[in-house]
Amino acid sequence: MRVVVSKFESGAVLNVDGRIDAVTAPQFRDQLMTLIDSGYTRIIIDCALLAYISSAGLRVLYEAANKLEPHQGRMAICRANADVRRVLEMVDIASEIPIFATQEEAIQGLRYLG
Amino acid sequence: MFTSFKSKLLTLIVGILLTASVAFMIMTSRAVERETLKAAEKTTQDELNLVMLAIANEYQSLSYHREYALSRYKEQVKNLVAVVMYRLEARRELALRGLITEKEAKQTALDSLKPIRYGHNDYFFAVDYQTLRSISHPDPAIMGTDMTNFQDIKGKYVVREQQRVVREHGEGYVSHWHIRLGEAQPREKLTYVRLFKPWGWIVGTGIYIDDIESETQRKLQHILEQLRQDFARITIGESGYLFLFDGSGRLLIHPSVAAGYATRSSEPVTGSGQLQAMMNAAKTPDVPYRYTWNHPRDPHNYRYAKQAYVRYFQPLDWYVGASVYLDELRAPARAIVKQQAFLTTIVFLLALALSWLLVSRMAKPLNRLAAYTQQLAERDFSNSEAVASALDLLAASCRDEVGRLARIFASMIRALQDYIGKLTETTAARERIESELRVAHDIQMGMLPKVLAERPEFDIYATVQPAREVGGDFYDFFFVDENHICLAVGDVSGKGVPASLFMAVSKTLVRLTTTLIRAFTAEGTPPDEVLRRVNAELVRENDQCMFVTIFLSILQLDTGEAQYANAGHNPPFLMSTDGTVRALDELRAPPVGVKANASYGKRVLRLLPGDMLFLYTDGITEAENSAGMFFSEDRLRQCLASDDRRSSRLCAQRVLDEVATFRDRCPQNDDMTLLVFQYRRNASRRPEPRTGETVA
Repeated sequence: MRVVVSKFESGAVLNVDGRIDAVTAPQFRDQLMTLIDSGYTRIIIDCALLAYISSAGLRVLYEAANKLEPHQGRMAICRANADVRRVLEMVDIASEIPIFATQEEAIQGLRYLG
Repeated sequence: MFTSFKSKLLTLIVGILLTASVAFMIMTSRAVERETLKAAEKTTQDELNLVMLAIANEYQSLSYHREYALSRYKEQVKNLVAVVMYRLEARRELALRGLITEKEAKQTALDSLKPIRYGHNDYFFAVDYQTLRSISHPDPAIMGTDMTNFQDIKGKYVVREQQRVVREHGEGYVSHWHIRLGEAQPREKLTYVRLFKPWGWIVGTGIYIDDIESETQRKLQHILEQLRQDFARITIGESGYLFLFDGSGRLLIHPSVAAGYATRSSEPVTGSGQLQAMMNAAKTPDVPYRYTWNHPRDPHNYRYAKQAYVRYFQPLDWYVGASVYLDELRAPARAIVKQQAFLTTIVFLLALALSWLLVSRMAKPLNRLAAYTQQLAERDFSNSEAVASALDLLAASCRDEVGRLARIFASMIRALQDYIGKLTETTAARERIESELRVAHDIQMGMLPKVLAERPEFDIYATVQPAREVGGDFYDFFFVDENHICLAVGDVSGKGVPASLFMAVSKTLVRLTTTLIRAFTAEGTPPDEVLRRVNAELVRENDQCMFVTIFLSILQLDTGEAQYANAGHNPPFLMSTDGTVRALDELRAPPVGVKANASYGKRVLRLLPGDMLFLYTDGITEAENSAGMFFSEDRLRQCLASDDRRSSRLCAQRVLDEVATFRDRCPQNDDMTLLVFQYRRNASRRPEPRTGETVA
């Protein structure tokens, strides 16, 4: 797994390349939490290159969402492929973290929601 | 041979020393030999030049002497003849004065001339100028004869020549060959003749030139004798010498060959004429001529290599040679090499001894180091502290690389000791944990129901295969009451001990909540309500964000009606007897433990006899092969479609076999759980439509 972070306004976009599974989830968690700790309250997980996410990965997403909540922060997910989208929908993650088709929509969505 | 550091180092030192000494000796000996040869050649040439100079000098004095002697003789005979002339004049004077007759005068003159002898029986003669008749001669055979046709042995008309000389010059010298008085051999004679005009007489006397020649020869012999003495004094090198021979091949001076013709005139190796070769060599006086010859100490063996320079003295037809023995020229170089070899050997032995000491001193601590290390291994590290202290002492006593090595060894041994200690502890701890995990595994497996009372209405089979000793998957089935059975499959996020703890809590809560709701509620047991309550309980104090996905179904056995709810779990499959397979994926809800106040929808479906419910966790669909591919829902679906619906156990087994085949040798990376339920209610009952509908 490889994560490339790009910034926008008060937010950060994490482009995740590869798989988030039990092995890579701790690394993904570290990067995500570091961003939140350093004050980013708008976070978009761009899943265009994400091949797979396991329950360990979902747990990181939930944890991040929980952590952002007291800071009026929001997360969004975009460009997930069919396999990833199926897993995300299975656990109804959209009720916690909104899912968008494109990055622009995600940024727009976060601005609206925030 | 070179198994020890010591022998390698010593061999190296010996090799370097030997190579250096040999190279040095060869170079020195060559240089010395070259220089010695050059010096010897120069000496030889110088000696030769001096000798040549001396010879030239002697010769010059000899030729001067000869000229002088000849002119003295000439003067002498001229004076003597002048005296005779005076006598004749005196006689003629007497006759003119008339004291005696002219005839008496002539006669007494001739008579007085006849007996005069001087020198070596030399005499005077007289010839009539007109008739060339001998009028006075001591030889009776000549006396009174006509000398006109007298020839010497070389055919010269001697008297005619005398006549011509006096006619032209009045006096003069004529040389001819003549047999001396009392001798048989003709000798070269120089005759002085003068005309006594009044009487027409030619008066003369002769001297034999060979008197002068013999004197010259005597002087030459003297010169040779002088040279012989000189040559005998001069040695070139140790026993090189000078020699002299003439153009006819006569050895005149040679230390080992008596004067005379060379006893061995051919060069013994090439067979060519030795002296001839030397004569040729004289044409190039600066190029040494090499040959083999005898040695004054060993005159019969002609096997000594020599070189000679030869000079030619043309006026005497003499060849002077200076020869040296090559061995002797090389001797100084050999002596130096010998001396050097001796010195080198001493230095070599000293260096060897020193290196031996040094190398031994270097090797000693290394050997001690090796011995200590061996002790360590032999005693299984039990004496490691003792060895480490010994190595510390060694390190303190050696301040070089070996000391550093010893220090590093000591610290390594201590580190190893620590490591062994820690390893022992860790191993013990791990063994404890492993045994605890084994117990935990047994406990966890014990929590999962194995059998249910045999009922004709259904056939149930469930299994869980944790990826580690303990896992986060669970299944459950139990009778809620006589007519209702509860089926549940859950999957806790993560794996191992944390997941297993959460799993134990979740499973317990699900069963307890279901049972309690059944006990306190009149209208059945809605599965979504069970999940809502379990979630409410688990979501509290869940800082770790652990969550569990749960599929829960409560099934009425007499009707086959199944209510189900899903908290983010993989949708189960409904396998109909006609072979169709349908995923129960209408419901979407977050997993239990994530979201406070989460609500879960509920669905109902009616099972027909023979229908099967296939509940599973993602360990099945996400089983990976070596190519990184997942087993996937599609494969699972195909597998289920081809199932013959005869037995829950066979169906489960079949799926597990397929997964194992697919995964091949890849390790299992997630817990795998299956629960297969087949509804088998009495088929006599009328089937009812089974389209599910949302109740809540």
